[in-house]
Amino acid sequence: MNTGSGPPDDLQEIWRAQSKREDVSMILLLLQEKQRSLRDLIEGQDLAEYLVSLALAPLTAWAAWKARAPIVQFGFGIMTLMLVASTAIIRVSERGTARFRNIDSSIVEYHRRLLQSYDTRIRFLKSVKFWYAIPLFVGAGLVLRPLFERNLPAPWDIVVLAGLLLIPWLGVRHMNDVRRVGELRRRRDEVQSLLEEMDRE
Amino acid sequence: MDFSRLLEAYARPLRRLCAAYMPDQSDRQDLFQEIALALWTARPKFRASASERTWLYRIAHNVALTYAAKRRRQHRTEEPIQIATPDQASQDDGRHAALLQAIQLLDTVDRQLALLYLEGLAAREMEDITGLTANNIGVRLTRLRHKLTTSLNPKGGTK
Repeated sequence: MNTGSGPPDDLQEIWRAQSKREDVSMILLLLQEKQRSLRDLIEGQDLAEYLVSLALAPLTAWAAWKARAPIVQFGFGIMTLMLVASTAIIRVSERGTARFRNIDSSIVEYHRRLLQSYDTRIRFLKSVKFWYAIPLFVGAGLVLRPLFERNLPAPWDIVVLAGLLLIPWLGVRHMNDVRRVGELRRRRDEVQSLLEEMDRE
Repeated sequence: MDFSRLLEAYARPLRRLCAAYMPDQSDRQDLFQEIALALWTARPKFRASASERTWLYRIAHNVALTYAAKRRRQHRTEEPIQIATPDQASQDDGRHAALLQAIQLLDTVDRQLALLYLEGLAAREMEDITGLTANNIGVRLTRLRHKLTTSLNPKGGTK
């Protein structure tokens, strides 16, 4: 068996006998286009959430500054804090996933890291409803509380307000826990089955 | 690193690798472009002290595996890659076509090892590329060579 230097054996000769000429220049043009689209895709990740947080944070900070009632100030303060925290976390999360784009590693290692990246992203998405959504909606609740207090009798003001805040929270939970995590798990399972196939003796 | 030179030098082995993963001609072309794209993207990270060939095959196999999984997902099937049809195979030399079909029927790891062996890579390079141990590679290669030779000479066994 010839592996490495030395003349090719019969199997290797048969294998290498079949080849076609390649139009390299055409491929290079396609390459440049594909590289651009790939870069756009990577840069576009989490951009919507990042921009929304970045745009809203100054508004809530300004509202906290202007509000007269301490409870409203506190509510806007919590919202500002969470929006600022989320912009920072989105940036950190993007940098964290960038290391998994390094494809220059052994096949086994590459797939392990790919699985790791799926797990990290799933954990992150599943935690959003706790660390981000709950404080943000509690802040919104404090801001809206005086308005409901004025217009509805107790305890209906609390009940209606809680119900109204629960709807967007469930929306956030559904979007992350069901839709995004579901898609990531499906892809992860495919990578996992490939890895198991590779590990099989 | 001169990328045009690299692609030109390895176009044929890469084309053969694509054929082993994808029976369909258009899929082979797409896979080739995906591999070229990955090489282009990874190019700045290449260290001059490292082996160019090992680096290239590592990336090519990683991309091919990911691409094959993506194609399976798109086709909504869990079946292994289909073997080439007689029409596609008729373009090739008979023995080459038989060898290609035998490779396409192998499982993922064996297919990778077979391709690396057929391209003449050393055992050490195979270790670097696949992450498997030298012993494991040795055992698998002996078995593979026997299997591939038998597929070329179904009546006569090993050559």
